[in-house]
Amino acid sequence: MPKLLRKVRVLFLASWQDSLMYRAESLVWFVGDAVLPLVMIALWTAAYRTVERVGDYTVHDMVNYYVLFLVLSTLLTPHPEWNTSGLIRSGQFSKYLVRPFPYLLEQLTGEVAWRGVRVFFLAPMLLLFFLIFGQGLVGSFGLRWETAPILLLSAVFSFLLSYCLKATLGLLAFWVGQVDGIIEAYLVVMMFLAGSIIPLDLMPSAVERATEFLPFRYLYFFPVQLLQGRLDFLAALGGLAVQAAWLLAAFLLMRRVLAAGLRRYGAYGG
Amino acid sequence: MQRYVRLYRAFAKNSILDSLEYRLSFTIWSVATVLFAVVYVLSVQFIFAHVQSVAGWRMEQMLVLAATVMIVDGIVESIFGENMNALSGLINRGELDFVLSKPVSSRFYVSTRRFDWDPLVQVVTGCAVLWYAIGMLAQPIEWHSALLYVGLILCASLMAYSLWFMVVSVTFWAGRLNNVAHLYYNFIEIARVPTDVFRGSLRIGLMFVLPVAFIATVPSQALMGILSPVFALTAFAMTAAILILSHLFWRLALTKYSSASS
Repeated sequence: MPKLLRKVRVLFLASWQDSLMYRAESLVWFVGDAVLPLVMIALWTAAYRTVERVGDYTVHDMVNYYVLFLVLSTLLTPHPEWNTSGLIRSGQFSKYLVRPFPYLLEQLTGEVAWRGVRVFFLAPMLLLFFLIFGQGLVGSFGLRWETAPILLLSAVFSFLLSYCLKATLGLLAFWVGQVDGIIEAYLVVMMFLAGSIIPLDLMPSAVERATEFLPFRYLYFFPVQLLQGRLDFLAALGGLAVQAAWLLAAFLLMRRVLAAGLRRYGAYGG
Repeated sequence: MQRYVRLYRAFAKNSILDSLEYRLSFTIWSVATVLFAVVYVLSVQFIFAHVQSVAGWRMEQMLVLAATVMIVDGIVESIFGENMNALSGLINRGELDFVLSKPVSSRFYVSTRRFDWDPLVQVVTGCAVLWYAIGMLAQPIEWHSALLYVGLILCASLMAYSLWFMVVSVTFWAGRLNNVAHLYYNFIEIARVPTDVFRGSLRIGLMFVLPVAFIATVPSQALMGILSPVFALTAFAMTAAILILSHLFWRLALTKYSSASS
């Protein structure tokens, strides 16, 4: 086990250096993730000029929602799908198969490192938000002490769940030559049902209930609700349990898909 | 000029033959595009279930805006998308040599070599959404408004392309910046809401510095007959200015080209 940990450490440091070297690229990706929440903040603040409350949200709650969503989605969204499908399509995947650690672990380690760099972009941005929106932004933040450990666990689960789902999509490249369209379609539906465009509890109740049977709400919406203090301890624990179940299911699916894909995999050249 | 028309026809034919090989890909992209439109329209409807208007825009007007972004983005991406995404790599790997040594305008070649048929689905979807939205408008569309709309959509496409082209040209100075072309999608993201939701200097900036307002807000207003003629004239003037500016920028950038190590 310590041997594996040492390997993970080396992999992590290598990716960390990569991400620092390509910080301009990293910034472009960060901006890409940040634009939608910022646009939604502008849209909602304009909408609140004519109404006091929307559902359970005051204007401060709403701004707070998107800021928290921005933080979570930029820190907790790995992108293994493009790299994985690209490697399979080009045949370079073979190179990774002969390395002395599983491909999926190596990719995961790299993703963690690339997320880390984003803290440097997030920190000044959050400061700016605070200067613009001031106390109101902080006022809507209501994490309860008893749900804090649940929040930490759910953040880790969210990252891993996202990783498993997206890695599985990337692995579809074993069967379909052009998976880019499938990935895009997934991202669109996923982000919508995860609450990136509008909070799920502001959607019609039938739609909101439907999202309870899907894994996506546990990616960001659930942790945001914890951070805003909208769930009591029991509801939080229940949510965490469902999230864990989804994570397990997604993990097993990913393993199955990789195993099945490898049986079909034929690489050319070297 | 005639030579360029002939050349472009050859490019397009070449691209269609290429894409006929990937029919499954086309189907998948079409599904993704339609899903995207559904999500967009649903989002607008869900928001307007709670509010009457946003910065003076009613739901059906917002849907006109949504359709307009889809149409403009579809046009830009099908004509220029693949080329802009490839350009950064060309500069970076020194493959621009092959372009510069050809007896055609380098800007024309790098901007139009590949025509992508997939995003045309977005133009069609956008037109469908537009049809749906127009049916809900209180005022009927007048024919001269429709004509102005078409003109402004062309302006918007040219502006969006020129900005995209300039941003990617930054690669000449920045070196490896493979995802710089991605910034275009963020630009379009901002165009998806009326520029009126922004206030103060930000709004002025989104009109004249980063002309997001002219991508969808201004054309939509023109179609609905609520655009002041001054803005229509500004749009045409801005388009001309940005086209010229991007041309000068490309010329300047080319002087920084260092080719491959040879």
